[in-house]
Amino acid sequence: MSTSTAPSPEAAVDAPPPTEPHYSRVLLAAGFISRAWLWFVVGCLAVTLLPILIGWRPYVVESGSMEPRIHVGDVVLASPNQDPQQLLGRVTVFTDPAKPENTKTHRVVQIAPDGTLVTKGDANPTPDSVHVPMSDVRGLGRLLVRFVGLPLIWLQTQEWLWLLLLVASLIGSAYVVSRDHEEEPTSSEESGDGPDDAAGELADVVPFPTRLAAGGSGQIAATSPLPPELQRTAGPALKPAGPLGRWALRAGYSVVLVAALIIPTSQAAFSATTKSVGNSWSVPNFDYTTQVKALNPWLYWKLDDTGTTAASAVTPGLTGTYNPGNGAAYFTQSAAGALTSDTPNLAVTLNSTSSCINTTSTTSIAAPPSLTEIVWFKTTTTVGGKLLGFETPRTGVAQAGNGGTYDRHIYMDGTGKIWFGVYNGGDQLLSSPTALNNGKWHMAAATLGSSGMALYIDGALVASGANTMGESSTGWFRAGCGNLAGWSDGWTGANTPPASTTPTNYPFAGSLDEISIWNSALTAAQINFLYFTH
Amino acid sequence: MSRTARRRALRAVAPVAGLLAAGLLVWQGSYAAFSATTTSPTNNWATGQVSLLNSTNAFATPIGTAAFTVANMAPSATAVSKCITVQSNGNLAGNVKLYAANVTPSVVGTNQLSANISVTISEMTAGVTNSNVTAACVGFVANATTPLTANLNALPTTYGTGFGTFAPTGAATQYSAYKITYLFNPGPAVADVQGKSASADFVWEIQSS
Repeated sequence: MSTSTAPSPEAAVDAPPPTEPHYSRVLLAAGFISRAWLWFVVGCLAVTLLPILIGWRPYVVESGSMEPRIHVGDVVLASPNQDPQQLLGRVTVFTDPAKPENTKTHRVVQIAPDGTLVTKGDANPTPDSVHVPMSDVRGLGRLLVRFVGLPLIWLQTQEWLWLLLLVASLIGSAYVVSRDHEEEPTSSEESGDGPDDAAGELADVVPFPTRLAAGGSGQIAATSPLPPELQRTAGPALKPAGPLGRWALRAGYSVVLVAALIIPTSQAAFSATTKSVGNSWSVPNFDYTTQVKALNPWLYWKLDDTGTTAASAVTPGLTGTYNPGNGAAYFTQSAAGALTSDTPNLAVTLNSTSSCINTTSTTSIAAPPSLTEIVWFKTTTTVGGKLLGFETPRTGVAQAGNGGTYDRHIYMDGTGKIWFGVYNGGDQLLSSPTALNNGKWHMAAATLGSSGMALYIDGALVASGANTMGESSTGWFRAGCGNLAGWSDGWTGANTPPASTTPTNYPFAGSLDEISIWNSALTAAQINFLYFTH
Repeated sequence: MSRTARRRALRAVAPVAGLLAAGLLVWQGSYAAFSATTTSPTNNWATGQVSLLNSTNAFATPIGTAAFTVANMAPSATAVSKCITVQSNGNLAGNVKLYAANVTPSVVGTNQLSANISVTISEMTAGVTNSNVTAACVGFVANATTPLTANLNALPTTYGTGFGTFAPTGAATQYSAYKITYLFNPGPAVADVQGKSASADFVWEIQSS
């Protein structure tokens, strides 16, 4: 105990003349207030820190979204609790799921169906957007100690004036208590703590934080346990208050520091939302047939027929003829079709090497310089065949150079790849990268025009070329058969076409549906959309 | 009673008074805050508040209207954009994040329409007033923040994962504009999404910082 610089007790006793009752009464009142204040502080701190012994944790509230019940600077004491039913409707401390580094104190307003907690700040208009899983709950609010965390808040917000006032009030109170005590000469023998002198007490107390700071963490740990101090203050309470001021001041100092070290802060964050609700997107059930017709095809056979004529679905348009005419022998009509949007959804299966669908009209047309051909097919064949093309003669197979011409055709090779071939002084060829003879419906679309030629499978562009012209000829479109002699470039798999001098029919063994032809090139978007609507 | 006796009595009472006051404070505070019957009846804005409104209903109430009501949607390579201005008029600083809520169908799967609508969101945080960015995005100039692009059913749905850097200071009413663009171009590989619909709410949330 450092008392070397202190004035003598005699000098201190001389200062307040005992014969002056007015002064004494003021001192008496000041002493009472000071004592009460110090004990008040001690009491608050005890309530804040003692529950730590039974596993409760204190949290200083940092923000005001639980107003008006919980204010900034209040300390919430929370006991561990994992029972959602007990938490419902009550103030709960939890790890903020949105910001795991923060602790939040909000009220549980609902238990979500998935077992998580819906929380809300009392002062917030809406519940918190992120639900709290039980694993994030730190505890149920049990005790609220008003204002005790304010020094910590002041420290954080650097409100030094308030901190200074607090410290000054503690020191001043301790001083007043000790002066009040000095006036009672007889009490000094009861204190058991050496000479009771104010300056001595202050000299003893003032270096305390300095020691604490210099002592490092070990020193802090040594001074932090409050219970021993409280045990001792419980004793002096009945004794003359000499040590009381000292203990109170010590407690004040240490607890502010200890609290800063051990009491975590908890946010009661404000939140609010605004919304644009009910945004919606919907896709209608597009009808493939309607969409094809909307693009004004030159020829459209739906192949839903039951007789020898392939009806035209557009006007004007060309009808077709199932040739030879006996549908029962060479075609299976009314097979399941390619479209899901079609009623009836029918197709035709070609089941003979002589099965072919030719235009009914015997009048030839000039080969269109621009065109789009679309055909749906389904097959498992491994010998290839012609699906659709422009050819002379109208029926049968003719030799190239002997009146026979054939190009602008879509055909399958021996491995199941689809080809689009155009003759322009040589074979201009595009092919699909993959085999399509997998027994499923596919849409092959080929375009030729001023921007080149392109091949689409199932709406997607798979190959394109710069060639803009086909063979200049007259003839007829046909589906399901035709000459491929000379078109062996790139052909893979079985049944390679022979030289062009050998007319050879390449019938398609499979099902066909929805044949449409334009004398213009459709765009990629149009073809993509047609496939989308199927 | 002698002066000394009175003094002693007062000294004995002072600690009791101090502790009693402390106890009363704790008891009162705890009773008010933790009583199980209290719900949240208050809208006391004594210490501060945060508040957001948006332009879909001319900043009238927090719950705005839809920016997108798209019927008969067909695949298209052309994206469609709408802009929404958000107003912050609280008096606390905070951070605003945009996320989606009530997304239907929420199931992740290519056969869902919501999985085939690509949404791109960008923001404009400087120089926005309540009217200088139109719903059609006239006047919108995106800031440097990397736009968020995700399918409708993969947009962030929480504040923590939300989009945006708008940080109102609380000093005055502040605005930020958001450009929301959708693209429905599912491509041929997608299974049939015809006859299907999707919906979503866009939510801006501010949390005080």
